[in-house]
Amino acid sequence: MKINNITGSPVEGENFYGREKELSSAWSKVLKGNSLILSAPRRVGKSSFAKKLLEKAKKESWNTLEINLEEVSSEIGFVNLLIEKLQAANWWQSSMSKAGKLFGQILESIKPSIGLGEAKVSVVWSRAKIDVYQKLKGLLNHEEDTLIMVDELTILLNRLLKNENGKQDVEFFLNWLRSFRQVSGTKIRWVFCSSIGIENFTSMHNLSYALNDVSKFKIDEYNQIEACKFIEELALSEEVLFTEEDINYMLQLLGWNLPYFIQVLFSNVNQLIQVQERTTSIDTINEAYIQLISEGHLNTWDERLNEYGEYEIYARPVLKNLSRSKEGAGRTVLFSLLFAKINDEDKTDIVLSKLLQMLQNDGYLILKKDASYVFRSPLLRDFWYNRFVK
Amino acid sequence: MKKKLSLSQIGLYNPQRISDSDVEDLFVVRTKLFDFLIDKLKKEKANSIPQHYLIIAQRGMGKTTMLKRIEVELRKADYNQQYIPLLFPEEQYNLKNLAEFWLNSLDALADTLEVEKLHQEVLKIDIKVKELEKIKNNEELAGEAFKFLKSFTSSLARRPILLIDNMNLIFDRLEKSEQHTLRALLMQNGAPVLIGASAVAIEDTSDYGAPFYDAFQIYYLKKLSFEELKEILINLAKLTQSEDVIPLIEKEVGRIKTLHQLTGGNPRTAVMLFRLIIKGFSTEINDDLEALLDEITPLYKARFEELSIQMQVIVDAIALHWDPINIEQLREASHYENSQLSPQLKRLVEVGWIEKIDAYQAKGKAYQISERFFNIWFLMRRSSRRQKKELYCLSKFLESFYGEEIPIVAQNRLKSKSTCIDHVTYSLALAEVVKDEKLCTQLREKSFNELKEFAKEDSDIFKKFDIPSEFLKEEIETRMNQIMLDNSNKNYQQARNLLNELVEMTSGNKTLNAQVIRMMGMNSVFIKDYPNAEEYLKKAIELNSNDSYSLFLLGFLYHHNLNKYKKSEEYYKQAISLDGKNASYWCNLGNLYQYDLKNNTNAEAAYQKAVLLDENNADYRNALGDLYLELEKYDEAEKIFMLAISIDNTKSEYFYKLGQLYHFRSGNLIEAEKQYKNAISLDQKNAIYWGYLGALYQFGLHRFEDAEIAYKQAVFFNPKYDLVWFSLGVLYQADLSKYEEAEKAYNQAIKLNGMDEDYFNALGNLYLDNLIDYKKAERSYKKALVINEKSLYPKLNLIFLYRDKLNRMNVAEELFNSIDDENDTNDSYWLNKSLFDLYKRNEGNANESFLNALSKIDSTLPENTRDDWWRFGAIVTKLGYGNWLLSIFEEKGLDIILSPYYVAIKALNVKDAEGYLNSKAIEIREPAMKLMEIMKYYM
Repeated sequence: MKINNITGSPVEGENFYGREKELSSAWSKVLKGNSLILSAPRRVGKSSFAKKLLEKAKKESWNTLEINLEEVSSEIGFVNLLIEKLQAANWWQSSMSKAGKLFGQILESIKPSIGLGEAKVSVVWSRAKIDVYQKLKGLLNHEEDTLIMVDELTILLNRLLKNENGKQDVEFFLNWLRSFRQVSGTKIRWVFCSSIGIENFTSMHNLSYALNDVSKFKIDEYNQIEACKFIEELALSEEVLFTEEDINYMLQLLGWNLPYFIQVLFSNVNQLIQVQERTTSIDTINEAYIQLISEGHLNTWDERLNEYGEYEIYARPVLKNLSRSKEGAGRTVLFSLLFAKINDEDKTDIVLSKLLQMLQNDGYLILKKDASYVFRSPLLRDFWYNRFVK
Repeated sequence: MKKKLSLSQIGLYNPQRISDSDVEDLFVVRTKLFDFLIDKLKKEKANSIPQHYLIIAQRGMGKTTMLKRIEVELRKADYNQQYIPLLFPEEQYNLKNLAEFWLNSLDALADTLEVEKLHQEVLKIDIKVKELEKIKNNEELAGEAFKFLKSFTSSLARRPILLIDNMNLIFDRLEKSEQHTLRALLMQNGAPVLIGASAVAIEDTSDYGAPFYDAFQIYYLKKLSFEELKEILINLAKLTQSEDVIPLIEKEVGRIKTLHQLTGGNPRTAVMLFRLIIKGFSTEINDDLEALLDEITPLYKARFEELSIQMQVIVDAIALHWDPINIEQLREASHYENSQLSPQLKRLVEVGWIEKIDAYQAKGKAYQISERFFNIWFLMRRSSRRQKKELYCLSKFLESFYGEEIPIVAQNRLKSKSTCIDHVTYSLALAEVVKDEKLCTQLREKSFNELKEFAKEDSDIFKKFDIPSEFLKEEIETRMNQIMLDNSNKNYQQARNLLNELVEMTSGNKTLNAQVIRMMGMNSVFIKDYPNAEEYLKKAIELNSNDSYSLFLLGFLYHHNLNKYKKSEEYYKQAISLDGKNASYWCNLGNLYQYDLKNNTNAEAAYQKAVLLDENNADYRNALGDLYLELEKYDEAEKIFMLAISIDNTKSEYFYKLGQLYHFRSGNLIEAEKQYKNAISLDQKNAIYWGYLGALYQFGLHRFEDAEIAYKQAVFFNPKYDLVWFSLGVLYQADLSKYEEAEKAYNQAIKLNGMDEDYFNALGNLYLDNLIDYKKAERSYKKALVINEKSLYPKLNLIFLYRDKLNRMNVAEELFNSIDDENDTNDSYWLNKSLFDLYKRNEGNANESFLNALSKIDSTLPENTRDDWWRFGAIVTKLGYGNWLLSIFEEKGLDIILSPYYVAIKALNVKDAEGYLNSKAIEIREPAMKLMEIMKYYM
């Protein structure tokens, strides 16, 4: 099997490797009627995983639909996109005659959006909205097994928030989505992905109820065997020969077997071999790794802490501490660290909670299954260690 | 045979000018990366979600060339069924939003199809673009444009490969929501593949919250290795059919290594240098360097000007320093604080302008320009050449570049004439590295002589170059002479201009430079710019602390212009400590002590020292003489002045002072007259001398006609001499009885100086006593009191007027009572008091008052109150108390002591005044008669 080493975009088909168990588990949940939220920091592979799930569903003759809300900036845009996707979906063709009239009506309702100024559009839309959404619902058949992937939900929600009645719009939208799921006996399942945390968003806006029927599904790193095999496959695809020692060394350096980081390191090593004509060796791997953690753009992570204001003085010791260990540290350890500085239990608790939330949101840290906090990126971790600890 | 490529075709700045085949031919390094990227493209399946790429490299490192090469490759038969390259123009200044991004893509698509001669397709695109441009809503326009792009390329069954230079610009201009949309579109199945290039790291790709976070696989184009550079040069030689250069390239390893080091492994710069190489490493340095600089200037200039102003300042400071500069030094050089410097430095490092290295013997990092050749260019193009650094770096470059041929190059340089300043710079730089001392000297001499020639047209040359002053002896001397001439003609600005040149010309010789700066100080004094004068003199002292004259001049400045006497003393003493035999220093110190520090003891010692050191200098004796006058050592003063005269009898001042001494101190009036006349004979127009001679005649020798002549001479030579006008008035009034002339003279004095109460007082007296114009008298006295309300004499005179002439007793008394008792020491006061008492018929008090008046005088009546006594006598007689007064005189024996006065009063009180007067001796009779006449006026 040849894997194309794609690092910046979602992968599909043969390029998706591993995660058999997770896929199986996720599919099992879906079969049981659950909708899922894939919640994880960026570059963990949510979109790729969701696509794979769609592939699985397709193989099982389910109807599938993939909607990427990143390209949509408004509700009207969403409506257009949904219609476009449905029109493109093969399985939907058969329903076309039934829905043809509906399409026409929907499109008619949102037609005034073209050519009018923004204010008029919103006036027209607000009148037509409920009706349109109602009609949209009618486009889908709850009797047929359908899996719908919605990517980058939070991006659209954040955009909607900027509307004049943003909160209401967001609420409406989420409730509308929820209403699909509320249909009794529905066979439509949903998989939501978002790089910006959906839970944080809904929690912040008191909308947690809108998704409380959706199961959270966590995606984590590869296990060691999977990770090793992954590298082997990549190497094979690029016609590069790695020894077991080389592979283990790579994984040891990273300390966290996320496909993305494995791929990035592999990409760098591969470039050194193919372009700079190095040999495959520990030295070359080291060189590639050092290049990665020396790259200028990592400085921005340091600079970004300036925006933390009063929290910066707490963020730095926490990050320094965590950079020392690949296993990270639990809350207790971090609490003690800050308490030594703050000397007030309540305050330390508040500061730490806020700080950890900020650092997770901004991509510095993640919370692992074993409740330890680690650097989300091993590259960032080692960069931090070299810069501030060594 | 392969077509020959001309040098001009090697498009240094615009690879898009070159044909596809030439692009391919020229692309000799970075082939591995190129193959790698093409390979990656090939691995993209037809409808895949594509991987996107970003190439990051400093300018000139080959990004644009790489993109161009990819474009050319994808147009080949192997690929053009599958892909269609869309190469965006390097500058996309029109791009403001996503809609324009996609419209630009359609433009690029049309361009590609045009090259492929698919004109019909091009037409379709043009038609569609016109349609799209009618859409007002940008979001919709973007969507439609992208859809069209996708559908059109689909119809061609070719996947678009977007080749975008200056990718950072795109990110800068697209808003976050547009970036989201773009990302969503690029993450679709079958989306175009994006290969971007940027000179800078794009923050949007490393910002966790940004849409394109870690979205690209990034490749860096690093510096060429030496081997790669050589490969480029060899390849260029082949392409331009200059194979004969190849052995040269192989041979001149050292030179190429220098070039490699200097160019920082930058391909573009290396290509430029090829032009130099192809001409052969001549030993004609002028041609080599000029060619190089001409070639490189447009690029370097453009690169530098692209930087923000702040960055330019920083790069300038770093370049000027040449060696790595640490942050402290940079802060000082740029005048930016750390908070301003840090982000700019970081940016400059990121884009490869500067390198960061560990500072030597200092904390932190140091910075230097990455491309050393840029540093050389920069320094050479800077206006000032004086910087040793510039010569140093140029020397090092030349040394590396010419290696063992330096002596030949130097010899050639000796033979050829410099036609511009750059040539001289090269010669000087060569001189630094030539090992043969003789050759070095010859080069330097030649350079300096040439510079002197250039300086004739442009005196700024002296600022730009450090020419040793021994080469400029003649020029310096000429200027010095001119400066002296200008000073004597008071053309101080011209002198200053020359001095400025001299400062530069003598900068290599500290002593000479100090002298020039001292002259600058003096020049500043001439133009009354004392603060600068102080600075210059201090600087001169700093440069040469053994120059007593500079110290003296500074002391003099403090003494006479800045009134800082203690400082003056300090510097005079310092001058003396270095040159204790300089009499002038001592004399000036004496002046300071005498007139400013009021230390006569020290002044005397200083003057005596001056006199001792220079016995033949009359001025020093003169100064000592003045001091003796002040100390009332008249005998010593007389001796000293006579000695001064014996040394130098041309100085009228000495005679004058001697005259003063005789006149006022020793009472030798005849001698005084003689000396005044001597002074006058040497300085006939000196009004002061005439004035004093007049005073001598008037008050001393009583030769009133002579006094008149002298006074008139004084005002002739100085018509504004108000004091002499006044004296003339007094002469006319008191001695010559020419009252109208007196009035004129007083009025003239007042006209010249209307603030002297004495003048008004005297005029008042004239009106009261002689011209009998009481109104004018009153007016004059009052004016005197306006000037000085406490002035006693006008007040008393006014009392006389009110009481004795105008019969305004109350006013007179009121005025009298206003006189401050503290001032009652005056005889006139008591005379008046006595008169008031007599008016009230109070003889007893009058008696007492009169006795008080008498107690204030000695055996003669004071000159300045004499007229009050005449008035007193007259009024007493008028009031009928003549005998009373006479009896007091007789009692006190004053009838003898003040006999003319007594006789005058008695004559006024006897029946037979004539008979009485005749009974007196003539020497008493005559003055008494005069007095009597005067007193009659008062009655």
